[in-house]
Amino acid sequence: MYAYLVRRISGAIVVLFGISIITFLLVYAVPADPARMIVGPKAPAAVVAAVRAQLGLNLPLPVQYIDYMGRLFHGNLGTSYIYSLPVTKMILQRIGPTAWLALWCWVAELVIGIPLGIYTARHARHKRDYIVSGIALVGISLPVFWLGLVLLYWFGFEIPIFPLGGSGGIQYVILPGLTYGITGAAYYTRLLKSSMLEVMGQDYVRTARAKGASERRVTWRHVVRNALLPVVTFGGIDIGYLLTGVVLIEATFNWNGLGMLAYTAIQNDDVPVIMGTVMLIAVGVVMFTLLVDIIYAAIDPRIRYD
Amino acid sequence: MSLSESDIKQYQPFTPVPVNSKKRPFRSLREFPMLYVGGFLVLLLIVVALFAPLLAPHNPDAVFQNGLNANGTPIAPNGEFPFGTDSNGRDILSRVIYGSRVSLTVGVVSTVINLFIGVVVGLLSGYFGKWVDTVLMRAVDTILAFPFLLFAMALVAVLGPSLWNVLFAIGILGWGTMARVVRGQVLSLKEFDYVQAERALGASHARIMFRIILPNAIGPVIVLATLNVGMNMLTEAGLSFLGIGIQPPQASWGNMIQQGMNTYAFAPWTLWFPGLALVVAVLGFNMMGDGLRDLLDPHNATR
Amino acid sequence: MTEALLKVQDLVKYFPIHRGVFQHTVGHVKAVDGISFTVNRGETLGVVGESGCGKSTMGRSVLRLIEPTRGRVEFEGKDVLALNKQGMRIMRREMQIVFQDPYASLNPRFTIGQTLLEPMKIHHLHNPRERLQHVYRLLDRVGLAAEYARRFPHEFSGGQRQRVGIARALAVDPKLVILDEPVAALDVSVQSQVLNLLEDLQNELNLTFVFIAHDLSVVRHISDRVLVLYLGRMAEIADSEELFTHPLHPYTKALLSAIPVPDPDAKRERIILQGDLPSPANPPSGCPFHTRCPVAVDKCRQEVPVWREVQSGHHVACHLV
Repeated sequence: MYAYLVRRISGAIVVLFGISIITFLLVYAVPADPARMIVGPKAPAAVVAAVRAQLGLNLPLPVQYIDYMGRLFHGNLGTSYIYSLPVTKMILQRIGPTAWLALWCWVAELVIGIPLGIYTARHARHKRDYIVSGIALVGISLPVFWLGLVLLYWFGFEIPIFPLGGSGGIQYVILPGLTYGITGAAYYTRLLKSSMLEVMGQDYVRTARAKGASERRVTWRHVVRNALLPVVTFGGIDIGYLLTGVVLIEATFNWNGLGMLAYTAIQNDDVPVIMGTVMLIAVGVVMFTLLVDIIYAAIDPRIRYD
Repeated sequence: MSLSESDIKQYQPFTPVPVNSKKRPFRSLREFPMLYVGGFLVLLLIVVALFAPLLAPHNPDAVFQNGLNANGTPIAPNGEFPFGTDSNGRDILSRVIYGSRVSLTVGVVSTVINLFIGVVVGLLSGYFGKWVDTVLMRAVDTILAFPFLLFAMALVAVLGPSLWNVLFAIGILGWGTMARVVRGQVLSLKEFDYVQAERALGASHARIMFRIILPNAIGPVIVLATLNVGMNMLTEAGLSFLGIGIQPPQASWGNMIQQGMNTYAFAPWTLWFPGLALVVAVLGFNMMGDGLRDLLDPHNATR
Repeated sequence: MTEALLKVQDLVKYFPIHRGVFQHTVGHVKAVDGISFTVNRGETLGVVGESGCGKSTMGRSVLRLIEPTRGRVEFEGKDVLALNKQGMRIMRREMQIVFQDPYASLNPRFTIGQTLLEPMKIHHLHNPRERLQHVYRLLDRVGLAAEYARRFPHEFSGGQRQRVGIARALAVDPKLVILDEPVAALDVSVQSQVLNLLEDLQNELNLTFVFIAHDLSVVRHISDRVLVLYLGRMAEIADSEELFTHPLHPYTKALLSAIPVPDPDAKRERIILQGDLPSPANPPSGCPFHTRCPVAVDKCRQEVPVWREVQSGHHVACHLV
């Protein structure tokens, strides 16, 4: 167990290191000259050169990388070229709204996905299963931004129940959450279905049936409870990936979160902000996956550590 | 024993003799409806993309004098413009038809890139094991940790938005899952005696990997690649929707939806049609992938 | 005619057991622990032992399908383990292997013809036309019809597949074939057919066999000499007749007593081995067999018995002989 944890964590550290290198290189592949961007197009060449020296842009790449890592460890992600604000501060302001949105998206996925999973498993290989599975497949195939706009049109415009986009409290969250839920629920549905079918073939389920337990009792007490573990695992990892998925949702519903920040930064060539957000989200994914693996290892005695 | 020319021709590569088996090579629509319906949609998409110039009633980029109402709003679907017009007064049907070319090109070519990198990385990793495996799998973990869409956005921003850059960005970022699947296959296959027999015969590593292991690992790879095409089409549309993909006036379903975002309140058709086209295309690949999975699933072999 | 074709000296294969954070080695599975033998040209050496005694590992180590930990393998006087990649490639034409499971040993994607062409393609043997003729010659030699060349393995029975496996091994005209339990997975009725085929092929092509089996009765009529292994070590070796009539090692005796005899009145002592095979990761001290030996004494628990020649050609490792 201990050895597994250490190995798992050291693996994650290697991955984090890889993430820092790739983001760093990406920035240096950006053709725009940061110094020129800061001082504006009309500034004299001498000023541009001075700014470059100040930013350390004329040092060799490895040196710049070490400087960058040093700043990173102090929580310093640099300063936005456009807004002249510390990137860390800009990101911190946006984390709250994005986390709030992501939470509801996640809840919607579970609320839609899990009941459908149970339903399709109970009616596996029958008409009902095929119909629901077919609908789930359509859900996966829907572009999240388009579905969002369609829902906005119907429930924001034609039947004005919800606000036409923008960020805020619960009334703002329902449509984006529903949108994400519909497109993502199918992954949970399928996972739970196959997991339940596997559990249903186990001896202890047959024993429960044999001793005369009602079908309802067998499903809920024996099958669902045991089949939920992989779903919980996937759910944990999914939170990490949600951070990457909300960009489109945020752009569609004009939600002022991390995704929008990255989106505008990319349009503005605001390199430190791009780098900061991309890296933060990647780190978030790694951390969440790690956390889930550790919790999983702690609660499931069957896991193999080597 | 001596052989005539015709014998040699007949038996040259030892091509399989057709077996008059009761197992029909093509299973019925009833057994695998997903495969057939999905295959039909994919075929439809290919036909539309190939014959776009013949099928489209208008030039997709042409701005029509009569394409806007007097107050400057798009025209609703009618005889001349079956899907209506967009806010520039262009024919939406023709743009949807031409948009299939972008979707299909990006979806397929980026998947081919995914496939190439994923297969090579997965093969090397699974076959050689040890440090090769450790290094490559850490690389896969790293690439899978990145927020795919954001990273693709950043990369396209660096390269400049164009069809080829979009396709390239999706291609070189989206191979992680493929590599993992191939590696898993190789790990189980390389212990088989027919692989060991090849080693005992003195075959090179490359020959064993590509000629023996790869063809036997291909089933799940094909399934994943098919599903991947649909996913990559969604990514392209997402990038174009964000304005970082295919640039107008070139028609892409994604940038058409973006344009529709500003007009859907009074001209909802500008939103419906490109979106529906995208859904149908992606659904086609997803159904085909699921159908192939069922077809290749050994549990279904005796059905 | 006792020219040595294959000489194996002190062959050892330990599989490391990894544990912990940095996967350091905490022990070894001693699959093969110091095996030496010689195989003469044209003869068949039977290698017998329970499953898990290291006989398959030994066979694969000789071919370097598994790299042995140490030891020496000499083929026609050449040091096989010292060969570089190119040298090994050439050497592989001399030594071939037939596997146990005919369902796992043929590539399901290749027709039988493609499977048999493969060795010739790898070694660039013959021109295309000769290759085809050779494929038919091989099929004919193992008793399969020519039209099978265009069929896939799944269309065949286990016995037919095993014939293909034998044909593949013969495709490069090897001098030595290691038969790794070639009939263990087959029906009893098919076993004897394949064994007869192997004998015919040996006579016809002057082949040398190392015949690995877990069952002495299978080895009996095909082997000239028999080597008995226990837990990766040698227990006994002797001429076939000698071993079956005068077994010396208690383990050999136990194995022999397990062979069913067709005569119901025959009086014989059935020696039933107590307990399970010990783990090769942690073999017993002294004689590895002492934990299950019916006649073990204190000495067996403390001292490893030396391998010594009791009679000409009859070697045994047992304190009590």
